[in-house]
Amino acid sequence: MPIDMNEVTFKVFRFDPEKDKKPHWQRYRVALRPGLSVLEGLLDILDHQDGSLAFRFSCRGAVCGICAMYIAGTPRLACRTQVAELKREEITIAPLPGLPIIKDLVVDMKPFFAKYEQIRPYFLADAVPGEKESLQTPQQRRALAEYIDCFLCGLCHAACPVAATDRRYLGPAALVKAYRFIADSRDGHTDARLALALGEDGLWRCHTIFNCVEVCPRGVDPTHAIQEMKRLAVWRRLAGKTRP
Amino acid sequence: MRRRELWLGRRLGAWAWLLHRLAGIVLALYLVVHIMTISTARFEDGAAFDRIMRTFNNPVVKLLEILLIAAVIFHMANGFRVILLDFVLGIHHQKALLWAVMGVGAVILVAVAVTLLPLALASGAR
Repeated sequence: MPIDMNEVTFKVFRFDPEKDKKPHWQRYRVALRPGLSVLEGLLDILDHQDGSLAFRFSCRGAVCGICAMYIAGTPRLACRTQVAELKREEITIAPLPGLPIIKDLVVDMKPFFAKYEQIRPYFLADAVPGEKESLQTPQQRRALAEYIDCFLCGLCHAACPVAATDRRYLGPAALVKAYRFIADSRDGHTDARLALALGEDGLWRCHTIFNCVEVCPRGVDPTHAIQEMKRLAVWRRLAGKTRP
Repeated sequence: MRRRELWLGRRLGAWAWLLHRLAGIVLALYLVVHIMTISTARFEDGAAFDRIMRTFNNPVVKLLEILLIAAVIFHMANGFRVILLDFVLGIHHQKALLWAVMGVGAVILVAVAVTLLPLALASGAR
């Protein structure tokens, strides 16, 4: 991209199920300014060019994980993607694949969160007995830190070729959360949690492709968590702690 | 309406996975042809087998054999990497691991090519 360029084109995926039979691409010219993020570019379009454009955002600072979309061929957060860093004259922006499209860049995250619920992302009933706090050492807390950081933006799920081809696959985000509780010294339901993460559409579908690691905006390593669970599942079966 | 997209993103891990699958399919198909070929040894007191071997004795087939061995080596080397990853070894260095096993694979492939290429070139002359 030449340095003197002062405009870029946003090629945006448009689809309104109430009006359109099929989706189309719409191009918008966006004025460049220092520090312009893709999200700010979209807001410029919304404010000055086309009020009908739909997309989700909230915090604008990569804290909430809501503006996940497909930008220039890669799943990214719109707020965290600098237009200048893409070094392109035309930037394609599309909704996350594999999820039902509600309108334009807005997808229905229900299937994603249904998978999240499948692994029961909360402490199980008897995990925290009594009225006393369950104390953790700093070291025990550190074991969770990486997995607590996940804010469920869905980028890993969108980047995963297995999730793209198998709609029922739990996917990296849900599996990371399953491991978050296994790694938690206060939970103590390892076998029950492994049972939820195993099965036809669980752990063993992961083929260590590492796409999830590539796109995670929080530095979480889902593949590592999944592999730890695979290893744990095998050892516990071999030790006779679980039944087939 | 959903958008379908398989993200490979030119990332090494994804390419290793895809090539591993493709090499696996190639090897499985080869195995079928291979078993069919050697099964001909049962017919005509082996004359059928000799005939097929003579047809195969040409530079093109020899070069294809080198490609076949390249697929075997890739599948083997990356398979070794995947096994390590299944033991959660080198999981944070999966790309370095890929380059390492590919390096070893390349050395083996060169050794194979140096051995087979003269045969390939000579086979046409006969």
